[in-house]
Order: sequence, then structure tokens, then C-alpha cells
Amino acid sequence: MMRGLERLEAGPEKLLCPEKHSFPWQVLAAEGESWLILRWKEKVADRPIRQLKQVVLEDFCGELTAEKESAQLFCGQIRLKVDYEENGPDQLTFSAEQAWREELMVEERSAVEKGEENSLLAQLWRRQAEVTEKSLFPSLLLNGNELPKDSFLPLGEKDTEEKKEATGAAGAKERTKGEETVGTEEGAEVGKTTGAEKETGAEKTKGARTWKVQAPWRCWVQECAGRIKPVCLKIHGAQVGLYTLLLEVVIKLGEDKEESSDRPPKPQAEPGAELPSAFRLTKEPGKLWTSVRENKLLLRMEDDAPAEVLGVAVERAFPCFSYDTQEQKLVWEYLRRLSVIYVSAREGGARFGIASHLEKEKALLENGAEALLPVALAAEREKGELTPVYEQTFLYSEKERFCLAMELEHESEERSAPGAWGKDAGGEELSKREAPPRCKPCARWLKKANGSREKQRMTVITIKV
Amino acid sequence: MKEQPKKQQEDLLAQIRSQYEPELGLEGMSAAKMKDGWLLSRDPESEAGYALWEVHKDPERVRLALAWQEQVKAKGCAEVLTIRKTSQGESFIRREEGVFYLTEWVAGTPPEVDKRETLPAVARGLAALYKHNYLPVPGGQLSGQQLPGEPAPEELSLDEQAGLWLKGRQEKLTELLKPFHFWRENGATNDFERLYVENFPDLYARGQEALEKIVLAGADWGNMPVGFLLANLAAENFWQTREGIVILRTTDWQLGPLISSLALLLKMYLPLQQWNREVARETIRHYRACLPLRPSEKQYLLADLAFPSRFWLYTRQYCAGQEKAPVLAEKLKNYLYELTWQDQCLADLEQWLWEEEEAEQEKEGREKL
Repeated sequence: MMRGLERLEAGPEKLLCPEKHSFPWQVLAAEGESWLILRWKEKVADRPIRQLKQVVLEDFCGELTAEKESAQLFCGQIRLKVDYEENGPDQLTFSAEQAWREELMVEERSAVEKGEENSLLAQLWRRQAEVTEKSLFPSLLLNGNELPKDSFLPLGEKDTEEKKEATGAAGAKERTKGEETVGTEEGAEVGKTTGAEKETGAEKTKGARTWKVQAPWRCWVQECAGRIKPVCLKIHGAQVGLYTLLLEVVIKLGEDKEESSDRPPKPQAEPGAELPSAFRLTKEPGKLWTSVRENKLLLRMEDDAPAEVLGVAVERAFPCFSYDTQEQKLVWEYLRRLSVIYVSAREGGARFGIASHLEKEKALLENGAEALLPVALAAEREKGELTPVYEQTFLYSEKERFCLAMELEHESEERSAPGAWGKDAGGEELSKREAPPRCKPCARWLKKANGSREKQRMTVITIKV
Repeated sequence: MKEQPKKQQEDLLAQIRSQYEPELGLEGMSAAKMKDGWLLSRDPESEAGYALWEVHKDPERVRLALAWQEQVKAKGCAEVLTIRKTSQGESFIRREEGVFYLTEWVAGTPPEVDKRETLPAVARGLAALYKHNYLPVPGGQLSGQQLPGEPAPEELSLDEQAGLWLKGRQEKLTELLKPFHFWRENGATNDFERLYVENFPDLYARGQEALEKIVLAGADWGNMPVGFLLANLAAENFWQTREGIVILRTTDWQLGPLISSLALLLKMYLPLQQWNREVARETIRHYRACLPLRPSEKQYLLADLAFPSRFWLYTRQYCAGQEKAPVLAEKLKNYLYELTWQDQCLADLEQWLWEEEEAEQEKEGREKL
């Protein structure tokens, strides 16, 4: 049964605010997929860095470690290596043409512009940051397909691979072991970054250095439908200062597309026929209301320039129902946060970012003119699309499916609560389960008294009414 | 200098010339315009005879500067120009257009500051000027004067004013804290801010250490010769003659420890020599030949050289929006590279200065015995 759904507020342009880059990780969770940004920044060099040579993903693995309702927890490890070169003591050439003038300016400023200087410094807090897309320093942005394939194997599979190799030729076994030993000796502790390490031989004289990072990671994926596979999507390594290196990794935990393609495709269902799990309890006409709404939002990112959008996530919070007596419609209000994970076009600093737009939404729901609180409401988002319109502005289009239940098949105290909207609703399983037998008055106390220790000395409790 | 129509300039020059003794022969001289005044000569092809200087500053400050210049000249300092007084016996002429004064001119060329031998020569000229340093107000009081950079209270002694100058330095360093905390909290958005956040702790510590040493060196101002300082150490204020360097103008001045001028001179021109330790030593030797250095001055010199003054300048220019971030990032990177050379040079100078100090003490001890 389809009913109309009105969207009352739809501004012409929504502003996406970039979130502060947090270290060492940042998570964006959507339905059925999550993105994990891992970040490290360290002052690695003793002398100014001359060149960033390469970033290598030495190891990447992850596996499903826990499952709770429809959410899955993935844990894994990542190991990266950055090769760079330091400047030699005599390679730091500088230009001195302006030095005399500037030193003189320091003295002159202190002499005459004291008052002005204070007012100018006060403007600092009001000043818009001057951002440029080019940087003085080098950086490397690698896509997943540029990285070695075997590093995408999940933990279990990787173990099997290594075992296979171990049972093979002795030489191969030794070589593998040898490489591992080198890694351990280098002091790569889990969760810690190893310092810059000197290379041997001819490279040492050139100032060649290596920075190794090894860390565990973990991430939840909500509302998992199929098999989830962690994928190292992108890696970014950059020099962010004279002595500092930054490493960023985006890991996507989404449905395994290869496995999905092996499986037979799902038959296309009629709109409204495939209901969210929370509403499988009532399929009788007049009790369940579903609707599909198409959203088109113009999103603008002012403080950053995205070069590529990796994904979109929508979260709703603080639902609140009321009834509009004039319109005779149910009013549903909630906070909606739309987040975008993107690769910034601006070089020089962190390039993987999350930008969000938070706003209050209000919708009028037709529910058969019943002035009753619905027993549950769920909203599902179909894949949204982000199309660039012009610089820093995108058109976001998505379809949302809402399901509103006005009655339950078997009413129970727990399930009638309005808080059971969305994923918390017990659904079919709860309806099948029989209600627990009611205890007799004071049975709780008597049961306690019948404990193993209390068997020998029975106590009689007398209650006077 | 204000641009004036030619006719107006000619009238002004004529009026000024008429205020000087006819024996000087100014009336018959042709005037050639230069940046800060005119060169007056009998024949345009020949060397100028006089220089007429135009200043746009507080006349009282000009009066003090000229009195200082006259005094040191009278004491035999050849490194400053001779001032010619008006018919009324005044050192300068005060007009709406500015303050004007006349000096003798000497034949020479602009100094080539990128040459190794220029810097020691300039240092020697500076020392010669400071050797006859003179406080023109009795009792060391500058009544109603404003110390550069500070709205100085009335009747401050020179010692107190020199202290204010030091306070200005400390304030510069303190100002650097605000942007650091701001960018660390809100994230750096460009190369300049990133370089700033990365290097601030080291540079701030360097500045603090320098100030501590300056305070220790001059805690007792009796050990630190304080006086008039030549504020304009730009190459255009020096003139290379056959006899040596001549200082063209003294009207830009401030008060402070005399040694701070040598420190500024080295900070300005030693980068052109890639902080060459030999040039640095030679420059100090030339200065010291004319004006010996006290131990406290040596300590001050080393500390002042290490003070990261240009770091403050770039930050200020960035915050005020005077320069674009990429330009300032490049400048800051360049400055940080320069500091590595400066450190090497300072380490050498420190060792050299204190070894010499010890040698002198030993020599004195032997002489006493």
C-alpha cells in the first residue's frame, strides 16, 4: 500500500562542513558499508626531507571478529612503508637576497607600527584561511588498483597462503621467513609507528630513509546484507613540513562485489513488497504504510575542494512524532546528517576528509487519518548518487523508503514503545516467541532463598498486610 | 618623500639656499635630485660639493640626531658627514614640507654589500660612530621623547628606555603563541601554517633562550654600553670612499645596547656570504679594533644573532594579509634552511669569542704577575 509523503523543508543549497581531521582514525558509517580513515603524522627526519620516493603497502588484512544483530565487527592490521630522502648538511641552499631588507623591517616595524600591529594580529581570528591547491612539498596518492593484489587477502586466507608457501620449496620458505624476521628486528610494534630507519649500502650516503607504520584497525559495519569485505581503497603519503610525513589510508568495508556477482541476482520486487525486517510482523492491509520519497539536494562544500567523492552516508537521530489535527496527518521530525567522504583536491595536508550537513527535517505522513502514535517507523535509503554540478557543488539524489506500522500482530509491552523504530524493533522473531509466564507474587524473593547455600537453613518470610 | 611640482621644488630650494651663508656658494650650484634630497655642485659634470637632505620626522628627533652627528664629527670621527649650519646658526631648517639640513659631500660609490670585504668595512665605520657615542641630554634624560616602538612615558631615563626596547622583543615572541595555538587547535590549512606549527616549538625555544641570554648579559646595564643607535643600516645609508665607509644619515636612530647594531648588521648581510665564519670573524675583528667588546656584549651578540626575528616578521605579514601564503611558505622554508647555516656559524663564533676571552684573561694574569 503506497501513500504520499511530503517533505516540508528543502533548501536550495546545503552547506557541507568538513570535519576536523582526527588521528589516528576517523570512521564514517552508512547502512551496509563503512569507511575507515587511518592517519599518522610524525616528525621523522633529523634533516629536512628532500624527496618522497615511494609509499608501499606491505601488509593489509582484516577479518570478521564479532557479529551483533545485523552489525559486524571487523578487525585487522595494516603495515605501510614510506621511502624518502633527507637533505645532506651541505644541500640546504638558501636565497639571501631579501634577508637584509627583512631584518631591517623587523626593526622598523618594532619602531613605528606597534599599535597597528596589535590590531592586525587581532584580525587573525577573523581571517579566512588562505588555501591553495598546490603545495611546496611532494605527495603521493595511490589508488587501490595500484597496490599489490595479495595485500587484500583477509587474515584467514593470508595464513593459508603462507602455509602453502611454507610447504613448498625450502628456499621460498626461508626467504619468506627471512623477510618477516627483518620486519620484527626493525621494531615494528603493533599500533606504533617505527622511527626512520637507515638503509644500508650506497643508499645510506644519499640520505635514504624509511618510515614504517604498523597498526591494528577495527570497524563496525551496520545493517550488513551480504558478505562484507575490507578493501584498502586509497593511500596518501605526503611531506607536511620540513621534517614531517603524513600517511593516510581509506579502508572501505562494503559488500563483496565479486561474491555478489557469483550469486544469482535477486528478483526485482514490487515497491513496498520487500519490507524492512522491522515490519515483517504485519502485512495486513490497513496496518502498514510504506512510501518512497525522492530527494534531490544541492550540496556545496565551501572550505574544501573535493576531487573525488568516495561515498555518502545518511544518519537520522532524535525522532519525534506529533499529530497535526488540522491536516489530520502524523508529523515526524528528526535530525538528519548527510556525510560525504571525499578526496580533497588540495595538496599539502590530509586529503581524505569527511564533510557533513546536519539539519532538522520535518515530514507529514499520511497514515489513514488515525490520530494514534505509530508503533514503529523505519526509513531505508537506496543508493544515493552525487553528481558534480560545478566547482565545489554537487547534486545529491537518493530514494528513501519509509515504513510506518500502526498496529502489531501480537501486542506486547516491550514492542509498543515508539523508540522501537528502525533497527531496534524486534520484528518477526519477537512475535514468534511466547510471552514468558508471569511469576507469582513474591516468587522472586522465594527463589533467591532457595539458592544452593540457603538450602540448609530455610527462612520463612512473613508479610503482614 | 612627497612628490612636488618642479616649479615648487625650485622655489623651495631657492628659499633654503638663501638661509645659508653666501660664502658656501650654494646660489650658483646646480641641484641633482636623489632619493632623500639633492646633491649640489658647481658643475654638473664635477663631484657634488654639498648634500641637502630632506627628512619627514619629528624635528626634535632630527635635532638630537644632528647634535649627535656634530659631536662625533668634532671628536674626529671621519665616518659621518660634516653638517653646515644656517646663517642663524641652526643645524636644520624647519618647513611645512619637512626638515632640511645641509652636509658636505664626499666622492665615492655605493658599497657592494655582497662583497666579502664590505661588511667588515661597514662594521668598522659603525664602531667609529659609536666610539664617540654621545647622549645629548644632560643626566641621560630625554624629556618628552618617544622611544621607537613604545609610547614612552615622560622623563624616562635611557636605562629604562633600553629596557623597553628589550620588552618589545619579548612581546614579539609572545605574539607568536597566539597563531600557534590557533592553528594547532583548528588545523593548519596551507604550507605556511603547517611549517609554522611544525617549527614553532623549536623557534620559540630558540627565541626564549636568546632573550634569557640577552637579559643575563645586560641585567646590569652598567656593563652594557647603551646609547644612540643607527637604525638605518640599509646599504643605501653607507657610502664607500677612498678612506673607508661613510655613514650618510643619522636621523633614523633609536636607543639600546650599542652591540645590538653589530648584531643587526651581521643578521642583515652575513646571509649574503652564506654565514661564512671567516667573514663573521673578520667583521667582528674590524668592529673590535675600533670599539673593544666587553664579555657581556659578546654574550649579547651571540644571543641576539640567534633570535628568530624573521619568523616573527613572516607571521605578522601572514596574519596581516600583506603577503600570500605560498610566498611566505617559501620564505619561511628558506629561513629555516638559513638557520642551519647560521647555527654552524654561531657555534664557531661562540668558541672563537670565548677562547679569545680566555686568552686575554691569561695574558692579563701574566702581566699582573
